[in-house]
Amino acid sequence: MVQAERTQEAPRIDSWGKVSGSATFVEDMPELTGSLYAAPVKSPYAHARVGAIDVSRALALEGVSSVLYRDNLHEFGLQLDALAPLDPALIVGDKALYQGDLVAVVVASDLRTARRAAELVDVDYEILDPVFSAEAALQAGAPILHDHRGTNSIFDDSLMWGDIEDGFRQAVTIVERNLVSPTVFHHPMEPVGTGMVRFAGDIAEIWAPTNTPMRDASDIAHVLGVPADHVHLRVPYVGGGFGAKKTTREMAAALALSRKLRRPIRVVATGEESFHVAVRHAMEYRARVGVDAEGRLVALDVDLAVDCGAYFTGGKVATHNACTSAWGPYRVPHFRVRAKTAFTNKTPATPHRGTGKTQTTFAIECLMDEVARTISTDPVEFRERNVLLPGERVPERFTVEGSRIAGDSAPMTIDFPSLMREGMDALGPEQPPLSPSLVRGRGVSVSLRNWAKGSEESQASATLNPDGTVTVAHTASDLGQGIYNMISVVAAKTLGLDQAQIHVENPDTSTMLRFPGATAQRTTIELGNAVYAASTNLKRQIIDLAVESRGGTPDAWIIQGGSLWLGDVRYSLSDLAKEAPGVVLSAVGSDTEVYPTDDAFGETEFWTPGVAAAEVDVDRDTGEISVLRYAILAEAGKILHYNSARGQLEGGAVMGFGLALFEELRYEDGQVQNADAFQYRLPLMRDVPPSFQVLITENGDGPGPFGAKGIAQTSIPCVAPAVANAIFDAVGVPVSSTPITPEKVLRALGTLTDRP
Amino acid sequence: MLRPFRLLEPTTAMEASAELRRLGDQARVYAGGAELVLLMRHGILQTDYLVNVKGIPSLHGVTWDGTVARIGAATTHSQVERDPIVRQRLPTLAQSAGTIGNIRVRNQGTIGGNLCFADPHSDPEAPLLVHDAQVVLSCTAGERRLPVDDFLVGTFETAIQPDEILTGVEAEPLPTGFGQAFLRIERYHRPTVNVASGVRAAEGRIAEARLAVGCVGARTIRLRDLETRVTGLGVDEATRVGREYGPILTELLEPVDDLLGSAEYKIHVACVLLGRAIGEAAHTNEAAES
Repeated sequence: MVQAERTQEAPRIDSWGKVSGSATFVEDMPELTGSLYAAPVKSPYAHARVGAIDVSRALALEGVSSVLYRDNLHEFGLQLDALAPLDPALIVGDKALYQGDLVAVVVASDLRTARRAAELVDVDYEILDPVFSAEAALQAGAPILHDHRGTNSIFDDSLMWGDIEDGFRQAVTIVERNLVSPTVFHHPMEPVGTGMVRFAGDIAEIWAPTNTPMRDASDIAHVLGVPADHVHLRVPYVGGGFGAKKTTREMAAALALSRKLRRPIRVVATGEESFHVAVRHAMEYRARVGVDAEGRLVALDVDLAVDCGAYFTGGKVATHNACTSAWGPYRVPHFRVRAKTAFTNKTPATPHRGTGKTQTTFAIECLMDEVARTISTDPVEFRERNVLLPGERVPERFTVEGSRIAGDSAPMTIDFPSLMREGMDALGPEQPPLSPSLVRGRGVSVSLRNWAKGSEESQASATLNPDGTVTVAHTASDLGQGIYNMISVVAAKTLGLDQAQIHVENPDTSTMLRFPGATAQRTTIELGNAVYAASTNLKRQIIDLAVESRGGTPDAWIIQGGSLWLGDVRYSLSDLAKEAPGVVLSAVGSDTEVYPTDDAFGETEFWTPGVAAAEVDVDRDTGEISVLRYAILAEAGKILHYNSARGQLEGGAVMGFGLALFEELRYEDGQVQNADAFQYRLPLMRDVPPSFQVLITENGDGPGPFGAKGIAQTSIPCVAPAVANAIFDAVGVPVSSTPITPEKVLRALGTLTDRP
Repeated sequence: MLRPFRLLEPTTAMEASAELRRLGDQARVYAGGAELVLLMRHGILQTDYLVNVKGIPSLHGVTWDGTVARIGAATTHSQVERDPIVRQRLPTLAQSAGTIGNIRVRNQGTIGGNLCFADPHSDPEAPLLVHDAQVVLSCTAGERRLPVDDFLVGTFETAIQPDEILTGVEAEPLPTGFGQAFLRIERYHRPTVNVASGVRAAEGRIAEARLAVGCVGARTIRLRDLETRVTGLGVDEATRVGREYGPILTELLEPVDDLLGSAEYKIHVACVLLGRAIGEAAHTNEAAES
């Protein structure tokens, strides 16, 4: 393996704009002429029957233009049945299912008036008992959210191979554990749900931060009852997403109002309201694991309970990912995971960076440490003995949701034992803590990720401009990952131009360029390949034009260092472009992979590992935890931009510290208790360990441009288990749920009484 | 979002007091707004007028008259943290100011605002109680001084009169021979538990102790009973008594479970910190003596 080095590279193309404040986010966009403002009316209750809604006081307020709500919805010409049946309706009907469920949208001449009017909408709520966990929601007699379904159960998922009963018969040691990952909010810096909408003729225009513009535009077209190409969604810079950024119900409602009022509308969300748009799925992982006399895993049986919140948004993917990752990267001959999913009266859960996998990686990796310690084996040694080694395959055949399918996934390429050793070595020699009340410990964790291909192809276009520069168009939002920079690097490198000659457009769905969405760490691979293809196609056209106007053969021409060369003679691209007026050179490129929907990981062609090692101090008296050293190991295939890759891994790990130690949305006494930045603890700069290392190797085996892979989600899942295992090592007792708080440590130690 | 309000900007404490007298319930004092504006944004508190006392020159700055340090009420936490007089004479107060919220809150919030808001999760209160500090309250009728211990009444409740302006805080350094400590645990932006101590130890025994604990009960309190109990004990024994003070502390403070932790956890941590604060103060004092 070759260790990647920080090489001479240009700064990211978005750096200057973001550092100087000149980068445009949706809130920075200038006012559209005649713009109105929207404000939402949201249910203050987690579960309530909605009786009469009286908007007369709101409408009487000076400056208020209109209200969209249940009783006048039919006036807006919307296709409401086009929405997925388990996703939220555009607006609440007779029941509000979570605190923040959208009851009405008010528009007025200014934001203050709109907000004031929203407060004047009188809604009769009959408060119902809420249910806040999947387990409780699935019990008989639980309050039912979606009355017509008669149950809170949504669907079951499963994955299995071998014979689970047979596996446990071979076990000499059996360990049982229950590991819990709570509801957390993605908490991007930019609020979730801010946008601008307008109808220009019969074209619906939207400016909004979203990671899936093409899908959103298509959904909105359905609701509005217009052709998909009549929705032009443009995405400015996005201030973080992590799965939370989508066009919202408020924006769709605003479009309906805009069409009726013929005025642009600005939708402004607050940081607090953002907590009520999207959260991560809470999961409970109940496992039984067996090892034989040689300390080898023989059986793993997992029951997963997945809390989807009030609607189904994204529950399928999160649950399926949880199933396919529930076994870690281990050689488990007999495996079974059965997942149950449930509606609860919480904010609808959506994908969250490493969706489904952060929860299961925490669980399986804590479980492995517990098993190792139960049989008095060092946790690293235990993993070395049981992890899949290069050349091994995930079991040949497995059963998914009852159907047996062939497992023809690629063999393991990852050398986990050496990555783990590198990680532990990176922590340096062990030294005692500085104070007698402190105990020190170390932990390791690993994760394995299959390639989740997009549901459709990715496209990009490259166009030669008269000034000799090239413009690349696409529909992939840059949520902060450095996607525009990746596009710039790939286009420049492929075309033989300088990055300064490449213009990267913001996503605009009117280009109709396809892209499944900036999710699942697939953008570098799939969009990168599309940019590579578009650039290659454009290069061919440029050379053909050069041959036509200057002679020579196509083979004799090259583009290098930003110019065209025929032998030793240099020509500029702008001269070439100007000399052929009326000729437009433009090429579309597509990621040529075919994307079948895979049932588990049967189609996986390569794997990406996550490995982490952590050292912590725990104060035995107060339970306070400090992460002192942390090492991230990643395998990038080929790094296209070192600082972006490193930033992704560091950012994922820092977000992971939040999940490990701080973040949890608390639902108690019928309400969410901490849905604001003041009471929702995020990781701070001082929570970043003093020693924080990122080690990236490049195998060049990725399917992306120049051998690249995606790595954006490989560091986050390892954090909570590495830290949890280090705490376990330090204090000698495990903590079974995140966030691992000082109070939980004290309870595990027996210092405080044992209670949930 | 914020409701419209009128901002009044008096230039003297007397003017400010007169405005408060004139406007009664319709007005609130603004002294940095670190907490007030949060409540206003959430609509928990609505007011027609804000009387900004931050613009009153006499409410700013720290002075030392040879005996007493006087800190103007509108002195920001950052200024308190960095002020040479405070750092030298009231070091745990400087330390506590440096732990409040974050740098933006410390640059904006003021010591007077913090005291008047009377959030039980205040940082400066515990050191001020250990210093037997007093507040200076002014109104058109005159000026009065009140020990911080009498000024603090309960959660969000003080002894200030509706037309009074808190103009300053006065504190003496701890007497010669005292060591001191300020310890805190935090998880959110406010402390979960904080403890301040001033201890005079002689020949390995506690000769005199002042102890205060914040955040756990309705207000920050001096622990006079515990102070008496530890006086005369060896340092290690006193530390143990502090650590085992939980049952009495629970009765004194009547803690509740909340986001920051269970009552049991808060009492446990408070006692750990009390034990440590006694030990650290005794040892800093001994280190200074030797």
